[in-house]
Amino acid sequence: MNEPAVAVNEHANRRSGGRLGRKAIRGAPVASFPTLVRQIPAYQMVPDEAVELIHQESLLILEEVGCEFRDDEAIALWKAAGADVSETRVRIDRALLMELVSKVPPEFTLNARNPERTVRVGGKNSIFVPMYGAPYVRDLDNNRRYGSLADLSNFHKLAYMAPALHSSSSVICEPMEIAVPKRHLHIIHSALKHSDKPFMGIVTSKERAEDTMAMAGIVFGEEFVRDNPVLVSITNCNSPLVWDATMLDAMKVYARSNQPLILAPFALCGASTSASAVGAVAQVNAEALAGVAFTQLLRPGSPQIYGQFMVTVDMKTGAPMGGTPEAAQMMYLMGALARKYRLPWRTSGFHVGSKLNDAQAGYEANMLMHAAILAGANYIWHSAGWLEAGLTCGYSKFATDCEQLIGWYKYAGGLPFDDFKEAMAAIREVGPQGHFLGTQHTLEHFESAFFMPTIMDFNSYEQWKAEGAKDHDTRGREKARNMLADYEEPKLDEGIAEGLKDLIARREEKLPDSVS
Amino acid sequence: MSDDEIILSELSDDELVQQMHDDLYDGLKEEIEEGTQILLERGWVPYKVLTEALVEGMRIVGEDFRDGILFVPEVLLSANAMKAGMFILRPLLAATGAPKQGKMVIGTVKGDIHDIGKNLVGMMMEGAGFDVIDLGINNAVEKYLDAIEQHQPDIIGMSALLTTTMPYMKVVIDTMKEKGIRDDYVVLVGGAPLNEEFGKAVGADAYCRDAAVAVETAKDFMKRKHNVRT
Repeated sequence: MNEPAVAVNEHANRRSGGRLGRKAIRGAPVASFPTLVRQIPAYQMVPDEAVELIHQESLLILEEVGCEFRDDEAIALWKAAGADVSETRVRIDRALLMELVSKVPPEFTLNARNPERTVRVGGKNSIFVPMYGAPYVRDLDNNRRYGSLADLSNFHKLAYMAPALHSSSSVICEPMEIAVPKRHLHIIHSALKHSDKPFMGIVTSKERAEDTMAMAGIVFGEEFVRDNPVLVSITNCNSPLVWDATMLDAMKVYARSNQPLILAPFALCGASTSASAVGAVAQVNAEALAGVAFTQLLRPGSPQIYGQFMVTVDMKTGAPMGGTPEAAQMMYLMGALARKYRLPWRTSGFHVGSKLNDAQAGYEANMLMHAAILAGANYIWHSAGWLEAGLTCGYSKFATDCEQLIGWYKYAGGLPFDDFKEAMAAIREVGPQGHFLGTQHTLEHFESAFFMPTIMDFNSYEQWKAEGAKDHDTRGREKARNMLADYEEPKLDEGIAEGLKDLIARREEKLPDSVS
Repeated sequence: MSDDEIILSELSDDELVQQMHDDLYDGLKEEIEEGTQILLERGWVPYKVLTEALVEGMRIVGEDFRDGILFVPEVLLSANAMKAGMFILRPLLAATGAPKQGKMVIGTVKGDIHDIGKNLVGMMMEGAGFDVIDLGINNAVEKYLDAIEQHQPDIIGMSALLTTTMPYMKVVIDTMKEKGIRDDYVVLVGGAPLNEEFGKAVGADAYCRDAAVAVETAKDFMKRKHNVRT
């Protein structure tokens, strides 16, 4: 009889090593989540006819008004492609535009230096990426001050440790103490050293983009980075309707190496677009499509990300807002357009206007991320740290966002039915009265069944009070502090580490100490 | 795995007690029963088995529950294993006149049929070695008085989830006062809408905010009681 043997075996395996065993399991860092493969439908907020109407208006904008491309080489490329060019104004007819747009692959693989962190972008595949570009930090002592390289390294460490973040971004905060001409070297070095997730490129000049590619070449191999995506870079159209020389230079460097760009107008709706949510989308769509099309003149078939950054302006002051209903509605429209064009698309998730990690931040973040998720975005950026319309990266906000992302990852991952039968059996086991806390089904599933946040507090009032009656902002800072104390640097080949240092030293010798 | 090779009867006393702490932690009922029997066969007095193997093991469980390392379903499993060990020891402890951990009568008060919290407390108390008499739900004062008379507990526990039923705790305590028996027992109260002030106002000895606190509070009162006696 086999049965007793099996039983004995199961018996033995039930031992999990008591306290030490459990502590080891519970204390172990959570492994990074793979690409989020969406299992819920994308929500379309308007009928197909409305999407088509906006699309037609965008085409008319590019045919009748046109878009500026302020770079000689770009103009030459457009002329050669058959666009109507007058000085730097390019009018693109719909056939040419849509032919170029159709060359972009609907999905691509973004390689990480650790292959386990490699992700997929486009279609049902989505990734969460931390913020970018903050001059200020709100630090671990709750002071607002300029960011430093130490802060940037900390944020890269946190990004590495956060299971639901799929990228380390690059300039999460600005290392303000480093001279601008040399800064990019240290930003990229920090991202590569402190994390093994995909990262983002520098776009502030052609030279800096080339340095970024050289550093990527050291890590991934020069040959490899000529054709395989290893980093994503942001290029913003200056709304209304201007692609400037700096952005076009960055596009040339990256697109020619098959490195994806995000073609995203930075639109302050009401100021750099008309004061209409649908009007703003028609314009931003035209701007983004013009950018996407241009990349296909540089390298046909190169992977790109269509996108937008659209917030409304506060008409009382002219300042950008964050989590407003219109910002959410515009995401749904952009998502519908992206699906129409079969393009991977970017939006942002937690880009709030609040100064603090407070109730306003929470409401704004939820308004935006809910829309980003339901609108089916693929590259969900500014998903950690963002405060004050991007001026500040907060440690508490960063830790909070990372925890919330675990919840959103689960939400978008859909409802599992695989243990449905066991759950029904548990009802029969318990019957009326009684409770489910001790059933076999509960014991097997309690750890994964429900979201288990640690910064959010659900203790009894007395327990919360006994622990110091801390508000969410304080708990977020404590979490960030604890995470940093537990950080262990991912392995980086010694030769690669040396190679990066050498390159930085060589470049720093040549680069000036000021921007003059 | 090396765990496959653990044969409890081949372990030294120290190793066995350590292993029982682990097995309690892992909620392994049969292993705890076996370990308890082995220690008794080796001539351990029941009280020593109880305190060194079981109660100490559950102390560790309680600590990690408090610190968020163990979760409710796991602690219930541990408590269940502890209860199995206690089932073997209880008659032997009584026969040898060993000091008692304590006895508790617990129930949800009249008008209230909510009992998940009360059940949790009951199981955790059993897990800590207490005898628990569970009166269930919707208990009128007579039920408590009958149970007190019949079981002679050390502790009376009352629970309520509703703001409309929680004042009934005062009815029970006032009746105990009228009968002149209030001070013979420790009265612990709990439930979501209660707080410390309410516990004091109705004349309870303590309000317990959750099951872990209830066990700690009960142990504390038992210690004081024993100090008075000795």
